Amino acid sequence: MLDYLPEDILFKVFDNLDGADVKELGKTCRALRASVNASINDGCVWRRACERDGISKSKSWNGRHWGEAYSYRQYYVTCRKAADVWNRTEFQNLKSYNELVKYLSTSLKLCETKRVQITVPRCINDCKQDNKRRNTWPLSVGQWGKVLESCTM
Amino acid sequence: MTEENTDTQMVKLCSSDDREFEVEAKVAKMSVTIRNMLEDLGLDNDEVPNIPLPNVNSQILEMVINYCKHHKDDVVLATDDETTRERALEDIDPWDQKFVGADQGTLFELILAANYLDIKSLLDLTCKTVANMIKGKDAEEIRKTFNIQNDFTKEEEEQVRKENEWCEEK
Repeated sequence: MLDYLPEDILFKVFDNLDGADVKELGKTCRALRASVNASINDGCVWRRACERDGISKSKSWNGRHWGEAYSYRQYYVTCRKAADVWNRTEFQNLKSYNELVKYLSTSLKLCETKRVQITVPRCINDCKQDNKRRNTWPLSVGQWGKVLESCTM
Repeated sequence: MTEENTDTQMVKLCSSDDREFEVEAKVAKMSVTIRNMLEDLGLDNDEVPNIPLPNVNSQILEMVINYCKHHKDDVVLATDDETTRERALEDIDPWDQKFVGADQGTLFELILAANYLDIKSLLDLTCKTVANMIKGKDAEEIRKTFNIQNDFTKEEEEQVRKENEWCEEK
């Protein structure tokens, strides 16, 4: 029955889920995948997720898509474990991948002082290579994911 | 006729299978759909208005009426969507939990009825219940829970896997 619910009702269900649960739902069948994609394009899931996490788009994200803001947030959540970067406005104002890499280096130094180790494996370099060809903002979700994965306590 | 008088007046709700339920207007008016119908009909006469509800069968309509009777005196607080949304199922009163604890088919029929009748609190409650059934499960567990057929082709499955690769746990 779930996969037969009208989209507007499904969106109300999504409102009560976080991004990871919605993502899993999108992996179950074609109909739900279409609805999940529609909700992502609509931005409502990400908006709710951002709101839940206290991310104010108007304040910090200058008109970026909610999904992008949420990706930032996910990145931040991981990164915060290693270094207190969120409140630094320069992090929020990063405009290119190269800037991100530079910034990560700064974060690494911060981490060292806090005796927290952070490892950035070679996928960062893979992203970097991709961006030599593309060198535009934003990073794709996949690239953010790689960066996120690469940051471990 | 005053608002108070119209609220104590009775209305007849007629289900898709032609069963009639006589309820107080105050109870029926928890549904925005019915409230609008009553406003269109006007309640300035002694006749008990008959409201046809062709999209709701008697079993579900009876449940919806019970829900509305139970909640008719609830104080509607100024809407704070965030607060409402963040209330977990555990915060829902036991009566409501029992109410939505019926079988899954009934739960989905209640969602559709709440949507059609435009009863926000019931729609919130039922959607939250479904969300709670999804939370923390992987795709296969969700399929099992809701008896969803995996209709992806191998190619599509691979595409889905690639799309989600970045956030999969290693």
